[in-house]
Amino acid sequence: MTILHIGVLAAFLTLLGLIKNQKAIHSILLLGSILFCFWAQPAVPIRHFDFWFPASTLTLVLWTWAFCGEFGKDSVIDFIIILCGILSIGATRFIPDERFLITRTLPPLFYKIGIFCAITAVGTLFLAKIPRKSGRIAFSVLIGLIILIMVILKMPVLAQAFSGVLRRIAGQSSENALPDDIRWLGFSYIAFRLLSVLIDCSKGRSFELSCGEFLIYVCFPPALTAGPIDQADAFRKKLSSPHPDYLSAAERIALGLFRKFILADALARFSLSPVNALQFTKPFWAWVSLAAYSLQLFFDFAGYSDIAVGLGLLVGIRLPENFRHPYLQPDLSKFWNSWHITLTQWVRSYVFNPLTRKLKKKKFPEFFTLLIPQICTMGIIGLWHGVRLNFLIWGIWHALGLFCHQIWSKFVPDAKIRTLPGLWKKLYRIILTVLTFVFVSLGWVWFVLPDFPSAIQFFSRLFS
Amino acid sequence: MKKYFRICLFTLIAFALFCGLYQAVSPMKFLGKISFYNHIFPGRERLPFGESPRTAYNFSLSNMDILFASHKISGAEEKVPGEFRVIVIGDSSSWGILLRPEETLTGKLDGRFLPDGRKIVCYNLAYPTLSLAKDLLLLDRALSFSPDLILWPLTLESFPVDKQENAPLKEPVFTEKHSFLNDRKELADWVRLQLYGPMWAGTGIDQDYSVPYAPPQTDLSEDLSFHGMEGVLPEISLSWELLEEGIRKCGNVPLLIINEPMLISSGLHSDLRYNFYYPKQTYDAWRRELTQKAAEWGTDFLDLWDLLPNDFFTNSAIHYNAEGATMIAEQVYQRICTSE
Repeated sequence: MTILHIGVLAAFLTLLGLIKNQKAIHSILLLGSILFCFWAQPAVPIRHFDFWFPASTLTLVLWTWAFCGEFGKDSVIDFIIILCGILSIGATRFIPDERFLITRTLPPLFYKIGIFCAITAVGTLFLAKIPRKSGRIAFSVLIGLIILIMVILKMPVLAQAFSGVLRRIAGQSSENALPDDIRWLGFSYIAFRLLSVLIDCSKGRSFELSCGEFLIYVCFPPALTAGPIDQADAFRKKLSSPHPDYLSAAERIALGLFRKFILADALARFSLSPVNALQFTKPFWAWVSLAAYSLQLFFDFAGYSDIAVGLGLLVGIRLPENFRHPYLQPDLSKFWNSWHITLTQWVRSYVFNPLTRKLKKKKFPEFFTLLIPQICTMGIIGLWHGVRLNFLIWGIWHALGLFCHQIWSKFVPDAKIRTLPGLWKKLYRIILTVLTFVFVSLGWVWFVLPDFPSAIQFFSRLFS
Repeated sequence: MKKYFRICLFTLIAFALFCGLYQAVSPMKFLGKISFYNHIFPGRERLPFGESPRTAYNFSLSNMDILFASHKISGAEEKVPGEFRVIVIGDSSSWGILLRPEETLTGKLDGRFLPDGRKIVCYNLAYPTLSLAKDLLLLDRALSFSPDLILWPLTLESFPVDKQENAPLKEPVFTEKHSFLNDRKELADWVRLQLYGPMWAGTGIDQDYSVPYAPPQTDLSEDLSFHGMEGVLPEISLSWELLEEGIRKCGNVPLLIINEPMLISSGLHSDLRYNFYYPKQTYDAWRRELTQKAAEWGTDFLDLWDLLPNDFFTNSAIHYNAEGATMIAEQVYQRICTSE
């Protein structure tokens, strides 16, 4: 999100917050979410894909909703609004002045958009007809499709191949295909929202969101690009009774802007990067740059989250907190309970807990039931950032850290620490906090550097 | 609604108070002289300059106080007996485009010993712009650091009158109060320069060495004009008075003026021009005049115009490589030894 996006969203949501009519808020927010998907989509070197990517997002949302939800009167109206929204944005190609385009480039030929909308509509109606209990194939296809797109986006080799295919479809040379061509706005977050709803539905949990509410939930503009990942039901409750809080909103947005555009951007000038990692000749400054990277990442991400929460408050929707002083936590478990909280909770709910339950049922040794779910969970979180060896190592680094912490907690339980005199307790906590920060920071080396050899070289510089 | 109005009003009043206080204190007077360099980070080997800050950890700024506060000369201790302090001013070739600090003329002279046992401690105060007016600003500052010798490498391209306008550097003027809004760029520059300190301290990099470049042009145009003017030496358009002023400013401090080496092309139209910058007849006339004026003003002069072979030049007809700097340093060193 750029400053322009934030400014426009703030103005839009403030005005929306002033409206008292609930139905009007719902419809305007629905249209606003559709427009934002197209407007915020970055330029793509593949012809017309700055239109097709957001359009496909809306299709996936509709199909997922059709599988889980039910066509009531409201949903029919929302469904029509969504299709008309796509067609209207497509129709901007007829506006003679390109400054008024919503998308980065001219939308594709109108008949193609028509065909796309028809496929979306037929797919939605077809999925809506399938009874949820007997829809295992549809469920698998939808889950598979979302995961496939995620894997393609996160894996440079596949992304490049996929770009080649899309370029051929668009009538361009596939020779110029690059992994970065596939810039699909917010898909990492969209996918997690869709997956959580699909998994919950397949387990028979109730789903009460209308078509429009579901689209607003998945594509809520403040949270579209960088989270947080809310729960569908919780979001619906907030959406149905919004309470704008302009003061808190202004505070959070100001805090977010300060964190993102002042602190993070200032730290970025001397924080660790693939370019400077191997330029350091003095270990002390390499440590300084590593610490700067840790802080930069936090202020950048937490800043965006603050802005998202603040923007949400303008329209009365309180998004969940994503960060809670993670670097002031005395151990790794607490760090992960306060770092990117909504993602961690998601993976905990859909990967860690089911896997741990399964392993416990099969009566594996205790260390195995502790370690394997940690490795799977943290490995997935790592790979979510990109399918690269270093991200996987970063995940395993944290999994092993969490595992060691669990073992340590067994030998030195918290209750024992509580019996220490006040000063010792404080000192103990400070030492643990510093150690946790150092461990997490060293983990970032795997995260920021693109390959194994450069990470090893940087470690050798740190400890030389 | 009243609450929101009160908050807005309070914010406006607070901002107005801050601006008023800023104007009253005018902190740039002393802030420019304060620097983390020479305290937390080592001082820079040369004045900050650069167009790609993210990779060079360096950038161009104009406030001389900020520039000098970051230079290692500002952190230099009092001159000790046995030290022979040399300060190099000049343009991009002396600053060392595409050269690491130790590869520049300054780097090649630094640490050598004079026959009488004194150690040369050399500082690079050059700045990459061709302008005598800018050199004079630097000279003014250089003289305040008690040099035993000033080296002033220059070339004809620094002389035209139009090169003296819009100097890239400026001495801060504090005769009038500065507002926060007027000073915001300088404040931002100050902060940015401090933020690049850790990278300078950790890597010793102060320019982007990886930039691909084209070798200097050797096939030249048939054009005989110099800065849009025809003729052998467009006298009135050259700022000789600035050079004279520089010599006058030095007073008793020894000054060595060096005619910088340049590429002498043997390509197309090399019978008319030496290189991209100079028509032969203009340059020859200027060189004669410079030699003559240096003798007339009684200043030491070293003419190295044709010292370096063509393959010693990097991305311009006046930017030489490390070997070139070594050859120049050798010549300068010999001259210093004979003069001292």
